[in-house]
Amino acid sequence: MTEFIRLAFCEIKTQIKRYIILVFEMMAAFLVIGFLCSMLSGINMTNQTVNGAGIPADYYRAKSTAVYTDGGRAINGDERQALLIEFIADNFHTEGVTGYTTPLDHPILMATDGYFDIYGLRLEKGRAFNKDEYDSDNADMPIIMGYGFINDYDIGDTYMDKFTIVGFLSDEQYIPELSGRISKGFSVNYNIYTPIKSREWLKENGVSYPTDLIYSENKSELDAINQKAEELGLYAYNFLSADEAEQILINTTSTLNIPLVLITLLITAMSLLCLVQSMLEFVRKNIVELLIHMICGAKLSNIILRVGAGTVLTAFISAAAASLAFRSASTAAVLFITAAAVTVIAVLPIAISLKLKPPIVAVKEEK
Amino acid sequence: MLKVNNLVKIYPSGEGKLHALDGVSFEITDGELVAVTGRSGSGKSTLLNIMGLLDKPTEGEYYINDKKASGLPSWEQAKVRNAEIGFVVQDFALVEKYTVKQNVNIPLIYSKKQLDKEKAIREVLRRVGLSDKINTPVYKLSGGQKQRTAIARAVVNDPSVILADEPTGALDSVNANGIMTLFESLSRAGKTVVIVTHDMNIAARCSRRIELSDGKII
Repeated sequence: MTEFIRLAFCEIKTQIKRYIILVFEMMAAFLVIGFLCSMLSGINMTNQTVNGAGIPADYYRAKSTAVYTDGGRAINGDERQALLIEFIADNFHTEGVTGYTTPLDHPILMATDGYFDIYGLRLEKGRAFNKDEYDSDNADMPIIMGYGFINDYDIGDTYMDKFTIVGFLSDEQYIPELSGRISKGFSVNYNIYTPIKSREWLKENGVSYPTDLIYSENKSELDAINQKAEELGLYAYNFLSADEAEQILINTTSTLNIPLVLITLLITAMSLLCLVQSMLEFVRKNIVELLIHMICGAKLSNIILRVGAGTVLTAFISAAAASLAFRSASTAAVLFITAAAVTVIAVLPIAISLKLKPPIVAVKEEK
Repeated sequence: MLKVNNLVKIYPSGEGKLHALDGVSFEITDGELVAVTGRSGSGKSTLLNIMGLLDKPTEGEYYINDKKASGLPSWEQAKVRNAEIGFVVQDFALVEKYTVKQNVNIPLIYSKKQLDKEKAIREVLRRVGLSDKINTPVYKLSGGQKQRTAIARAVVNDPSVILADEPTGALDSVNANGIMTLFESLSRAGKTVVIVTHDMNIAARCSRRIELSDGKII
């Protein structure tokens, strides 16, 4: 084993500069590949959102969260917008989340009672919020964290000295975010939820009641909201049903993403070619030197081990570094598989070629 | 002792076959300094490559110290090459960016012999007169110094056989003389030295000459 490690790392030690340069070259290629993965993952998210959101037919949502006044867009804190939201909350059953501003790394979202069911969000472990925990101004604040936190915290842990973790959501869950042409699914992996507080508490603390989803048996009932908006000098909302929202997501995916994916695919293919080319050149340069070692008694396996270990290590360090930029297990998996494939493509043909030729023929050919 | 028995090496050549070696047989005893001569294409280098286990014969056998070396699997041939054979070639076959010490150390990386490696390297470099160049990169050396480095590398693992393919071909007469003096001293120390050369002055300094023509001993 010691001999194995010694031989494997002997090569790296003697050529550390070349290895560092190769790591950076490969990282650049892996970043391009990772970008493609992210894009494909975005499309997948959208598809999963469309398939998994399961929003009931009698829930509606505003096409855009932006509310426009006759003088421009209403900004957060605009009194008229607050009045409109209050009107909606008072007169309709609404569901959704509202941001709870904290000085924390991740904003905590206050979710309504029906939020998790409507979006079909499943728990990986722990429990859902109790009925008693909703609309409560109790100082105890339970939280459910996204899957992205599952390795860092556990059930019963306290988050930022204030929140008690009661559950974790499962991986690969998305909620639809409708915002014009960039409509897509958003992962909830890094969301943190707490049950929504009472209306009074929200008002006192200047937090709007969530009106993401508005329940109505008949869409025409929503005209009342538009009327109220007009009274307040705001442009009316456009309301979408779940079906209409789904259609927007599908259209967005097909019209916006596909050409971009094709272009990225092309760039990725070029990057992959460059990557393989760099690796092949690198291995070839090493082989010329290492064949001299064969004259001195190195076995073919020694040579393959020395070249292979460096190549594998370089490829995997690059893939690991590039993976950090994407923070996605699936992208990391793709990058590592690519690293393995590139290594095999670079080393295997040379290994076979050397195996089939007498050393002196290989030396002459490589020189 | 080296024993070559009816060696044949055939290379495919166009539509026909080229007999690089055609039934070559001879024996070389321990400590002999032997020159293999012949015109270009006579099969000298092919013979030396087969004796160095760097190439395989089409037919025939080859023995090193009474052990059959031809026909061994390649990994075992590598072991024999490391333990029993030192190789010196015309273009030195050194890794230019390595230092003298790193080059000389190459056979020791793969050696199973119980040697004090540091001591062995220093001793062999002293013998070839390169003690002061131990940490010098090879690309900074003269041709003669490079060939001395190659000889140091060939003998550092204490092999019984030294095979040299045109070792003075790239050197001037002064350096060539120095290199031959080194080979003579190795022979006197009991090493079997086989030198492929077309230089008759070099061949004349060897104790025996084997001349090849068209793959046959004449």
